[in-house]
Amino acid sequence: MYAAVIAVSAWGVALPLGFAIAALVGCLVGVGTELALYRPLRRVEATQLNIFLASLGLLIAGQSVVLVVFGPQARTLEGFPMRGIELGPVAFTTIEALWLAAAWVLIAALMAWLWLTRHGLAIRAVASNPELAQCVGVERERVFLLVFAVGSALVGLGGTLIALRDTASPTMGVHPVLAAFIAVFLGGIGSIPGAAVGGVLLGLAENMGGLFLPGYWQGVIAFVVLFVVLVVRPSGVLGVRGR
Amino acid sequence: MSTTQTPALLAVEDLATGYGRKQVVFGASLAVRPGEIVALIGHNGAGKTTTLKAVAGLLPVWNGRVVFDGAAIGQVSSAARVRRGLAFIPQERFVFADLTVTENLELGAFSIADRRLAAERRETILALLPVLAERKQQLAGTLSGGEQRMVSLGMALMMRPRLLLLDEPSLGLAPFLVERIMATIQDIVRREGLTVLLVEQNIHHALAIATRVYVMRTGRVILEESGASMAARGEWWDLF
Amino acid sequence: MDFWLHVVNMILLFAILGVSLNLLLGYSGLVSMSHAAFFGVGAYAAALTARHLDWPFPVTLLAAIAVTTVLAGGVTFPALRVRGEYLILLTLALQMVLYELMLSWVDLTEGRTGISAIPRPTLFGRALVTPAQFLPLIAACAAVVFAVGYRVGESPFGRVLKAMRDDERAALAIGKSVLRYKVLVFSISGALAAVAAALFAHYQAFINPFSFTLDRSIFLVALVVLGGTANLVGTLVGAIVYVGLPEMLRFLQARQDIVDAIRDFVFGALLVAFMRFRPQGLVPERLGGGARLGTVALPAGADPAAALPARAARADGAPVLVAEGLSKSFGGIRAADDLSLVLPGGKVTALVGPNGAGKTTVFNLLTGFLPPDAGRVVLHDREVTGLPPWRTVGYGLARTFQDVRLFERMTVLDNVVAAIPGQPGERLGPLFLTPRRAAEAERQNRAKALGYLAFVGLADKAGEVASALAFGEQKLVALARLIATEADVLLLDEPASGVDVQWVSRILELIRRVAAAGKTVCIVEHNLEVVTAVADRAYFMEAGRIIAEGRPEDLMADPRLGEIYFGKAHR
Repeated sequence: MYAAVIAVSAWGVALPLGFAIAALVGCLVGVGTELALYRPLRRVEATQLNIFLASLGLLIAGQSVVLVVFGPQARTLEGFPMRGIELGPVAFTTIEALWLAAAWVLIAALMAWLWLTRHGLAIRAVASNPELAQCVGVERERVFLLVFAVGSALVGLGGTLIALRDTASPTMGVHPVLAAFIAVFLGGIGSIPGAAVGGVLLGLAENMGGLFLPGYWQGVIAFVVLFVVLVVRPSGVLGVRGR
Repeated sequence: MSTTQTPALLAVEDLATGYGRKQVVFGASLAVRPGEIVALIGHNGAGKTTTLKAVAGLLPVWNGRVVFDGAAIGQVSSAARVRRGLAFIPQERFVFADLTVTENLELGAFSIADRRLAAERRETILALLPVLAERKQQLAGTLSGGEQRMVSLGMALMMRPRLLLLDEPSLGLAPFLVERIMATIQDIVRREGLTVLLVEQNIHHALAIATRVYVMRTGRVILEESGASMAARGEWWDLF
Repeated sequence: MDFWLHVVNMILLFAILGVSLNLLLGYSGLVSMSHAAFFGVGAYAAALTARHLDWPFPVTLLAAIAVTTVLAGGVTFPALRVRGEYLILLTLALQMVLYELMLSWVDLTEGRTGISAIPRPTLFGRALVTPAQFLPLIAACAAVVFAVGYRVGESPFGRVLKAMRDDERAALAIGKSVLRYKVLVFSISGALAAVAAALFAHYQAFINPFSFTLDRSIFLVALVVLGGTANLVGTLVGAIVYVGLPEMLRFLQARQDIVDAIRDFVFGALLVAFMRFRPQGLVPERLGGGARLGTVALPAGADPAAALPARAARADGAPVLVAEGLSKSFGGIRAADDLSLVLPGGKVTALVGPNGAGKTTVFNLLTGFLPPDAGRVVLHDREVTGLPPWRTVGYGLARTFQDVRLFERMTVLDNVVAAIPGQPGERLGPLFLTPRRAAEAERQNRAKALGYLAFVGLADKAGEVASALAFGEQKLVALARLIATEADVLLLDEPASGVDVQWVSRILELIRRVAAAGKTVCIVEHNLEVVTAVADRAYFMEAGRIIAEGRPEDLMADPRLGEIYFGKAHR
């Protein structure tokens, strides 16, 4: 996403290309991490905690690299006209409209890919029954790589979208990812529609909460939600049973 | 060991394997000739499934050899073994429960590069197992046990195997269904020229279609007999 | 000079924090992503009571300890319902919630501006202001914290923590109340963190939320892990690196935020590298018992069988364990259907049956790993139905697992000692108040454990790490551990599986001797050779029901059972 920022604002590249670069860079980073770190860790049978800490280490190191290379100030991403729109009593901006459209389009595209293509079938197979997938010749490691590639590309796109309205700063990564985590948990691990539902629910909760509760509770809501979900129903609203 | 007329399609020599640090098979040797249906029986925990999994490539070979069609495949990945003609159906969770019947079959053909060939194959198999055709779009997890077994057989056939490794194909099925499954297996073997190595705890089910039987106990193959001799024993407590 | 003393003070403070987290993370395997928040809560407690209530330093310290301990202990309750991996997320959520509260609850915490002008502590009439003046206080507190941490971690109590970490189910199976230990260790951790927190607040005389962020929590975890989990010396090393690194980087004369970024980068990179190549950290965990083994010797010429505890052993064949009408269903499947069985004292009973008959389910129902839907379990005339497993062990009923489940990171001897009941060192009171009694008991228990190991023939492996043993040896250690629980009803789940023939005969011999010493033994086995060799009686199960019982030879002569086991002939 930082690549997109640089490309667009410093080099004056057109915005759509910026998106593509963001997706590409995201994809490469994700794939690189899987190959260089997670795969070797799995090979030596590292514990969940170790893998988690390794990814945390990557987070910290990555953030600091961005900070050092690009400087700590937030940067804006230009190229998309920001105008207000009013539809009856509801007021929002064009960027938010873009977010809405992009989210729907991307989710639809992802689901189409998963359900209608051969690669998507392979991914769903590994998710459904990893051992049997191995038996029919679907190589788990390749599927993981694919998943990392696509997921990381999507993250790159998401980050760019966020940067359009808010600014891009080195530490901006954590909060959206945590929110995404919570959305996935809420919707149920293993279910893509669930993740989408979770995201919607979370957004609603955060914003409606802002209506009823004093301001300082708003940032907290997401995590209170997580807390409650984890305790009451760890498999999530639409969770895949038996996990 | 019985005399061999034709070279074995599968030869396992003094296999040792296990899970993680736990060794389960300490020395298993067996051979399967083309066109045969061979059964591997023995008490629970004797190492039958483990042996089968090692042949399929899901478990590593710690010692000994697995030779398929004249080539040692101990280091070959399971996906590559599928391409060479080895198909394995596990004992439990033998279908993709969250996917449709058609998708299950498609996955069986995953390693076949030619998509048209795969599509033709699917039609053939649906014709072979009509019950699947009726339920093409249903999620595999919603089918009955017997129907799921059929799906798993269909999936295995999509892989165009030469050797079919079946792990307790009759487990959990009502007797008449078992008859159907066993008959289907025999039918398929004849028509497609397959070879089968199956693991069974139910001796009668095994003897219904197997011509030769190996007995395992505590991680070793202790006996080999023809199906007829095994059946003639009448009781098998001393083998388990 | 003052500058370097300041650095030392900070190192000590973070070392204290590290110790408190190491007890959770390293010794107990409980991952807490909210430690910075605990630190913060303690600091705010001290600051607020000092500023608004004018309490002097030692009292604010107590206030901090009280608040943080209650918070930390309280966290355990929702956390306990949830699997291990989820604890990370739960504490993550907690960290974020608490941090936001610190930022936003301005009325209480003054939000971003923080609380300033926190009064200095006065000791012996003099106010402590400079780093040099603070150093003795901080050093003294650090010493106390390290001593407490060491006593907690490297003691029988700590051994239970490690057992819980390595295999919670197995810890339950040897009679430890895992729940109680989790609450205790979280509380202790909170209390120790509060010490650092109160000192920090008074030392800086100023606190704001930005010292207690998620990043800080992550760094604390990294500090503990890199220094070496379950090793307090390692924690000190970790603290030195954590605090020392940015200070050394100052010599680069770079901007503050660049220095911070470099520190972050180095830490992050180190974390990745260590997780990849050296997950145990710089200073690895000490294995108790290895060096001190020399003080424990087997009495010369002692008969190992005499080592078997003979609590209420009845070899007369009278019923010791009675189960009536046990039932359990999962979804639509009846895993156990009106099961009734009797285990006679001093005899070996076997449970046999085809795959999926429900034999292991019976073990789970009897021992409390699975509460029955209906039915009763009576042990020595006492009703134990549905009690948690650790309690039934205390009453005399214990089991092994099919997959052994030793505590892999502990020594063989520690594995066995851990199971011995009634250890004063496992309770905090005796551990701190009557240390000599605890030490003496520990010495005796180690000798006892060595005796059990001698019984199974593995006394020479006592000092080795459990994970290094071959599977067959691990099975024997598990048997010794079972005997160590002093339970007199022993349930062995597939004792002869997964090992080669010569191990089988060794295990069978031990089973016979155990029964001969008066224990009541029940085994689940698929290998019928084993069953005929060692069992006096057997129950034949099918589909969750017991359908026959008798001597193994008689059962195997029954054609009806043959049909069930080998399958009916059709046609």
